[in-house]
Amino acid sequence: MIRARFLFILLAAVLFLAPTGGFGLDEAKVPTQDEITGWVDTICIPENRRPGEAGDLQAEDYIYQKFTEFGLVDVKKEAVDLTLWRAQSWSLAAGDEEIPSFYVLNSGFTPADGITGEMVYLGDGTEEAFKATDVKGKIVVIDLDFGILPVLPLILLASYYVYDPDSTFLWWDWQPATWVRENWDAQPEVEGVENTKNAYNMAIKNGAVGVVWILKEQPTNINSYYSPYEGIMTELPALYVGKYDGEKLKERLKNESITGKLILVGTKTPGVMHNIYGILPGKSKESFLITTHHDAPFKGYIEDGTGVGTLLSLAKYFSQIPEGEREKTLIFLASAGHFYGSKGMETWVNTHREDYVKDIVLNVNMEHIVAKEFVENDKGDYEYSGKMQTRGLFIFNNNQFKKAIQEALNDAKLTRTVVVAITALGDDPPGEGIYTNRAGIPIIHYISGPTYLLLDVDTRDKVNFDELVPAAKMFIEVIEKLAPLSRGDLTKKETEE
Amino acid sequence: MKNRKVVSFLISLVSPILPVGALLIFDRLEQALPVLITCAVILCVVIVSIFMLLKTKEKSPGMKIIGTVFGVLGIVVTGVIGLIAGWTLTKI
Repeated sequence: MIRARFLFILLAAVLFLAPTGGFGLDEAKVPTQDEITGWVDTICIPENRRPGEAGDLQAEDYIYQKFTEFGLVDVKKEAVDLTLWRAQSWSLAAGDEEIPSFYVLNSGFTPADGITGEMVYLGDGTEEAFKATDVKGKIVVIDLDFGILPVLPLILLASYYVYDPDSTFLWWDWQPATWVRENWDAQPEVEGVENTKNAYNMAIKNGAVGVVWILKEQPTNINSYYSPYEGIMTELPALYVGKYDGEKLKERLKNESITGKLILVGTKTPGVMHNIYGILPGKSKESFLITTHHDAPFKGYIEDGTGVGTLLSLAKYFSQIPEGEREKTLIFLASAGHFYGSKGMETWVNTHREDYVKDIVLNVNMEHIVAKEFVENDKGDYEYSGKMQTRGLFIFNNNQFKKAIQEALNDAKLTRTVVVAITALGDDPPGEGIYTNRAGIPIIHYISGPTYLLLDVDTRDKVNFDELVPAAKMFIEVIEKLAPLSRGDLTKKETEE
Repeated sequence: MKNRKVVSFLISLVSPILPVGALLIFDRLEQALPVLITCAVILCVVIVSIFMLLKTKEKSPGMKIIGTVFGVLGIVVTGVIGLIAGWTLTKI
């Protein structure tokens, strides 16, 4: 009798667990692809979502409205101040020739009729180059060097798990890290310490009147590079020119002396942006913070329309789970000002140290979800490579994290994902995870780094919409699997393999 | 005997590029195992070739020296690529 009952219970357990391999995701509650696509499309209607600009304020209202609609409680829209730097007109002329250009964010403005000066090419703008050339009163032309991201060393030195079932990674795969400016470290200078990696500052110190950055390593001739976005206002006017336009300019500068005219007219006014967050209370006061940012340089489908789409997917899914079945309290935050030094995230973490942050046991941060890889073709245009952009999942060393992520990745089939140590690229993970990481909160940080992120071509064609639902399911699975664990179980484990 | 010496010399001479060829043929990270096996085979062949070269008694040692130097270089390159392939195997 006892044996029969045992067999019945065993059979019932097997039947219950079989469809999902042991994980109880409720398919009916997961938003559909059309629904998530609709959210992403709505977020990306404006031409840009720059911090504090109309498009971003519109996105904030939309997210606020959706959080409220889903039944999140304590939905808040918290203001964060910023300086609204707006370029109104800009141009670059080398002699009589007009060169297509784009403004350098947060750089100095010129008078309406611009500034003129002899143009001098300084290569990568090294300290030696500045010592060898008198740049006083001149416009310096410098190649902008990006960092590189090689896949093999990343995998060998820092990965826990690689999910690439189609065997797409080549031994020599790499990409330019277009968000890392090797010769323009725009962090504030430490007093008394010369920053020789900041060619822009050296141009200021040596009396240049303007800087022209050549986007030497940016694929294609596109010049709409929205950077640096640390939110630091500077005084020297500067413009970008595309790679091929830059090559022509350098060729001319080798053979002749050219007087340049640089115009950059704009305004700086006080502005405001907003963090949007809402809460789904759970059985425990211990919380998971689920984040992305809502601002973008241009339309921002990948940066970070799909991030917002995924955040809304998770908010909607978990809002349908009864409070008594949610192991942890879930805080959903769409932060402001990623393109203003991540000031929104920094402000939220600092403001809420006493009420929320102390109870947060995990931050799941999501950026640049489901991005297609685009590369430069023979004609010098962007072209879809047929592959997904390599994605990184940065995590603390913790076997529970690794196991949950490995299972979720296998279920969701998000190819070309490398699960790496949180410190794989430095002390902090790249993106919005910086401030939670610095606050000591364990983090699962999903991000990819396509080369078009900061350009005006971050458009709808860059999104693999078919992966929106699998991506949402992956995060749901990870959250549900980790939610029953205690704070102690979720911390970094020094000794685990 | 002379033919064997020439073959040994040629193998040693090309040995530094053989593992690179293996990487080009098995160009995916997932193919780390074939790369590792190929490197092991290359190592054995090159070591044997170097011994064959060193065993020959020649008045002019040019071929022996050049062959040995390239052979040792080949062993180093093959060893490094083999190690990377082996390391990769533990990660994928």
